Amino acid sequence: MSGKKTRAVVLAAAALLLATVALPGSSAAEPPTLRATTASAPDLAPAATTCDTGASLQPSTSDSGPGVQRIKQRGKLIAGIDTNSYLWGFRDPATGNLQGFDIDLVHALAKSILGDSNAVEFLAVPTANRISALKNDQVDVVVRTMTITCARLLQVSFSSPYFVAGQEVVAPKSSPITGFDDSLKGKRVCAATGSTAADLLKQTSHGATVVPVANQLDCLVQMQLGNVDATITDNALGAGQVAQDPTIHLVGGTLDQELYGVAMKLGASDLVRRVNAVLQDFLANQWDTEYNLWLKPLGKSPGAPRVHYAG
Amino acid sequence: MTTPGQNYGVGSGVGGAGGAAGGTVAGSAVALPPRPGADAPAPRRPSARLRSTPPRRLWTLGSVLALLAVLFGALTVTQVVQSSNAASSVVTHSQPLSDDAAQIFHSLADADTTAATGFLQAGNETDAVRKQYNNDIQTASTLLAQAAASTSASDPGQQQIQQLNSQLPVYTGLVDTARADDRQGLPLGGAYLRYASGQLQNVMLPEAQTLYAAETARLHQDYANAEALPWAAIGLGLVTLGALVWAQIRLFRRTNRVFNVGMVVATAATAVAVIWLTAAQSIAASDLNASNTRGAAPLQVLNEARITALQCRGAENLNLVARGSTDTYETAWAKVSAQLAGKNGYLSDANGMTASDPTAQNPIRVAAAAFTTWQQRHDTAKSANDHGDYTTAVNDTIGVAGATSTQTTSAAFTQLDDSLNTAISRERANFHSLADAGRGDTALLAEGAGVLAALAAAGALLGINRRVAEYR
Repeated sequence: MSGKKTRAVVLAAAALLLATVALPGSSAAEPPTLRATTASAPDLAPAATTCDTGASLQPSTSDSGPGVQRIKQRGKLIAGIDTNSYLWGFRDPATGNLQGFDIDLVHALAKSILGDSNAVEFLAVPTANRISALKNDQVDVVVRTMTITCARLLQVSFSSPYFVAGQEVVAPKSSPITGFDDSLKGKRVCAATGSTAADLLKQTSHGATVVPVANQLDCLVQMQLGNVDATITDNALGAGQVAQDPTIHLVGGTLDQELYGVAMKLGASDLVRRVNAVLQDFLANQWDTEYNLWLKPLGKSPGAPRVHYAG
Repeated sequence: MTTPGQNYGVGSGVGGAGGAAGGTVAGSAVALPPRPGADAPAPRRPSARLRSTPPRRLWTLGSVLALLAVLFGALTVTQVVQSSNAASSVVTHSQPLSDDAAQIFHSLADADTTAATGFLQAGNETDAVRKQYNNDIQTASTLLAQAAASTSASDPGQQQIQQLNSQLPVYTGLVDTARADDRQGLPLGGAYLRYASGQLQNVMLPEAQTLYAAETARLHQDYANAEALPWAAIGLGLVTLGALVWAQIRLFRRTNRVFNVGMVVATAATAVAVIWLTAAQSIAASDLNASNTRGAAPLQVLNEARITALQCRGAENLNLVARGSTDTYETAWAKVSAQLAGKNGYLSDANGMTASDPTAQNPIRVAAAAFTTWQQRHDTAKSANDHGDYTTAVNDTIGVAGATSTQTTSAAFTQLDDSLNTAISRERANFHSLADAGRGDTALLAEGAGVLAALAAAGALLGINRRVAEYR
């Protein structure tokens, strides 16, 4: 597919999508300034702030591309994951087994591409190393609650979204903090280095002091010890924190709409299409089950995100 | 003892010293040759008459000599007691405190490492690991209490001791929270353990290091005090000796009598005291210095090596606890292992320092070899982890639950730690035997020097008295 054609299709699809807003689970009260998606997204490449994060390449079950072939020849899918995200990717301390929503998605990918759901090499990657792990070919895919952003689209390719989340403030129930607003003034707010929350706080901190940590879970430790007053992370991970500590809550609603996608090496279009084909099936047939298995703390299932393709 | 002088003195003691004759020639110096057994009749009240007379000058001479001897004795006793106290302080106070500070450091670092091991064993935490952790905490708190008791409020390490005392229960609380969360299957447990370890590594261990440095500085100060030669006492002893010799030459010139028992005894006693003092202190300083270079100094390096090895082990374990959420620990491993086994690392230092003592050097070489094995296994485990095989990485690191494996990094670490411990025991024994020898070298020196000085003072007075008596 030629670049020009792609562009044209992207443009058209973007316009269509943003006119209809086909994604469920988004908060009605999201501040427009924080939205990654904007109406004028004519080109994916040069502009970091204007793009359609919801559009990915048309799915294809073809295994002939170099990206897919590399995995097939190896006989193993190398997946970059998180092992500290409760409900998404974490290790059962008793059995040592990895589990969670993201882990199940990786198994589904392996099953479809290699015919064996266990033909996976899980590689834990820190939040800040997700992109470099792909660039350095350490992993084939990153399935790690990774938000599709315009800036990241310049560095890696994403599948179609498989989950809609949003940044949200997590604070103790007893705290006067009401959300991402002036109630944060003078407070210490925790965010993982390299995360969307950290970028968000860089734009506007509402007078809060930012405490950076390596992993969002470290924020919960800091919050329990009283070293920070609140945490900003996305609601999916925030729900994982709430599930581990009933004295805290997600507060103020989501600040933006974030789409989780499977990240792959920039330009590995054959693999993106192949993964999108798996996701198409996953979203249609397995998503609800997975949601109910792992993500119940988030509330009733909003239904799988409806996806659209561009190019 | 019989000498011509004495015989003569006894024989001619009847004649009084001529007050008037001497008096007219009186100068300020005591140096005028008196004529013993000469002219004048015995005065009724010698004390009054002796003013500015040869007997009076003789008394002055005797008093000055006696005073010098007494001063020499007092100074010697003071300085010997001082340096002997410093030597005692090395053995009974500052070296044990420095060693204790190293132990505090060690048990804290070991607690960190062990907590991570127990965490990796998860539900299968062994009794041995649990006990070791409890022992570490107990050792650290006991030693901290001891250190607090044996240092005064103004001591430089006091602040660190207090801080460590207050932080230790906080640390154990964090570890307990980590365990409790982990047992409930919450990933939060791992985050807690990393936080606990961060507190220990970044706050408590630097304090323990400062404490160790303060105690070690005090050890070096005590060494310097103990090894310092008592120059003032030696100098005053030589002055006393010179004065005695000079006085005898004067007396000889005046009286033509060579020996005066009192003066000879005084001279001999002073000479013996000076020689004893100089020799004993020099030998003691040399022994103490040896106890440092062949005991305390390598002991310090070995203590550091052992602690550094523990930090390597801690980094290795925590890297697995972190489950890939950060690469801090792998970076820490690289840094700390270079301090341990790098080109100018502790192992290489310790090897150099024990070149003359194979009993200590051999285990250090074994430790270095164990590190090489450890590094290889570490790389193997790291490679497994880097390829996503977490279980293999854990098994390579802490072994398989319930099975005894000798091919783990844990086994290599244990061998290294045991070898270092053997070398440490050897150096500790070296230190004690050499330091005890150093202290033994000055045994009875203070008492002996005091007695000799008293003897010299008495001798000088008696000797002079004999001459004075000749004037009567």
